Amino acid sequence: MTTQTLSSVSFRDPAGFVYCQQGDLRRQVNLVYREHYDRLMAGGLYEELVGSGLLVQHEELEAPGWEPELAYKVIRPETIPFLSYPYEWSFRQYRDAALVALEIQRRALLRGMTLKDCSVYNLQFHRGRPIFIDTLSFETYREGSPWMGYRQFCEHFLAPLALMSLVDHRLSQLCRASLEGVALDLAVRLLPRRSWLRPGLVMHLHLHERLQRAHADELMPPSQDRVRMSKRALLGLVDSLEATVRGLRWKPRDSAWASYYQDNSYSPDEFDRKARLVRELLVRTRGESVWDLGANTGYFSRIACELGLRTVAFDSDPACVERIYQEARERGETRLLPLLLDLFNPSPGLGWLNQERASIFERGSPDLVMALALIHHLALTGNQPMDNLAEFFRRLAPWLVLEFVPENDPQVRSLSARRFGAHHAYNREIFEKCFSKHFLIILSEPVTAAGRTLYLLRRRDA
Amino acid sequence: MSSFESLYGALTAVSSSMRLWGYLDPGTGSMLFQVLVAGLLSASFFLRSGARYIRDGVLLKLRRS
Repeated sequence: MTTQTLSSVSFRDPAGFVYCQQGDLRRQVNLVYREHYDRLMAGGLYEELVGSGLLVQHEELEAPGWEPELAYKVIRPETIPFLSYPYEWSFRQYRDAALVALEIQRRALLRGMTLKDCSVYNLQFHRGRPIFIDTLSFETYREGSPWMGYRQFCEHFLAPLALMSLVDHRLSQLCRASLEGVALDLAVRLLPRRSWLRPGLVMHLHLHERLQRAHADELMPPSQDRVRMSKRALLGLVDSLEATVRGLRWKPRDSAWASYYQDNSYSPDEFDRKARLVRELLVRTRGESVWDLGANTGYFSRIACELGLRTVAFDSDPACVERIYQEARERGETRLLPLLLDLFNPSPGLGWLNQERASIFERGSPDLVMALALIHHLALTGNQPMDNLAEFFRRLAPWLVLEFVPENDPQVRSLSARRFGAHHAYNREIFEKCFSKHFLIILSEPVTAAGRTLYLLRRRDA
Repeated sequence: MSSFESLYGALTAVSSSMRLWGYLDPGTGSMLFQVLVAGLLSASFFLRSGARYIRDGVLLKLRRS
C-alpha cells in the first residue's frame, strides 16, 4: 500500500513542498521553479555547495509527485538525523550557521544566483557542521536586484546574535516567541548604547531599522527602477554582514566552566570507574543513537561518539553547550550534536497548528538515553514525583543508563536544604519501585563510596 | 462570480506579484536601505578584494620566490 502525507510545515514557498511517502521524505519541485532549479543544477552551484558540505545533497526520483499537474521534479534530500532549532543552539553554533548562510549567498552571487530568502530554519546541523537544507531557496540573480533575504538575515541571524553577544545569551529564546526571529525595532530597543560603537550593527540594525520604520506604511513594494544595485554592492553587503557577525563574541562567565572541574563528587578512581562502566553499558545495548540528558561538558557523550553512536548532548547551561560544540569542532567530531534544553520547559511545537516546528520529543526517538547524575535535579529542583520521572523516561527510549544519586550524597543534601525539605519522597527504594513499573533492572553497579549507582534499565516492552 | 473564482483570482494576483518579488516580504525600507548604502558597500568590496588580491596573489608569490 502506498502511504503519502503532506507536510503541514511546507507551505510558504510556491516553488515546491515537502511530503512523505512510505516513510521517505520527498520534495516536489513545481513547474514555476523550473528555470531556477535547472540553473542551480546545471550551473555548477549545486555541485560546488554540496562538495563543500554547505548544502544538503539530494537525488532526483522518477515519481509523479504529490500534485503531478504542478510538478517539475521530485527529489529526495539526504536525511538529517535530528532537527534542531536556533533557540536550542549555543552562540557559536548560531554564529557558524549565520556564516554558512552568508558564504552560500556569496557563492550563489558569483554563479549568477541568489538566495531568495534567508530563514534561520533553512540551516541544520549535520555531521557536526551547519548545512543549508532548502534546495529551493536559490533563484536566478537579476542584474540590479537588491537581496530579498537581507531583512530576514538581519532579523533571523544578526539581531539574535547581537543580543546574545551584547546583552544576554538567554535572549536567543526570543526566537522561540517568534518564528520570524527578532524584529528590527525590538532588537534596537534591547541593544545597549555601546552597540552604536560597532559600525556593522549601526548600519545593519540601527539605520536599517530607521528606514524600515519610515517605510512601514507603504502598501506596495517600490518599483524595480527605484531599487537597483550592482552585484559588486551585493557582494559588499555580504562581506559587511560577515565582518559584523565575525565581530560578535560571547564568553561564558569564568565560574560557569571552572566549576565543572571543582566538582568533588568523584575521586579520580571513581570517575574512571564510572567512565569505564558507561562505556561497557553502551557497548552492551548495541544501539545506534543516544540522547545524553544533562550532558554537562560532554565527557560521556564523547564516549558514546567514540563507540560510533549518533549522540545528541542536551544541557540547560549555554556555557556547557558552547563548550561541547567548540570541542567537537576542534576534534572534527561528526556524530555529536550539542543542544540547549531545559527539561522543565522543553521546546514545544510552534507555528501553524503547533506543527511548523516540532517539539523536541517529536523529533526523534533514540535507542538509549543517558541520565547521569540528573535524576536528583529533576526530583528536587523540579519537584517531580518519582512516578512522573519513570513515566518520562519510559516514553523516551527502550534503554536507559541512569546514575542514581542517593539521598545522603552532599549534592542531594544541598539541593534538599535549599527546598527546606518541601519535595516528594526521594530515596533508592522509591526510585527502584517506580522505575520497575516500566523497566527491568538489568544491572546496578555502585560507582562511588558514597553510594552513587549506575543502572542499566530496559523498558519492559522492548 | 463564485467564491471559488474570486479566490482563484486572488491567488493568481498574489502569484504574479510573487514572481516579481518572491513569496517573502523583503520590506520596502530594507530594499531602499540596501540601495542607499550600495555605494559604500561597493567601495568597501572593491577595497577588500584589492587587499585580498595583494595579500594572496602578490605577497605570497613574493615570499615563495
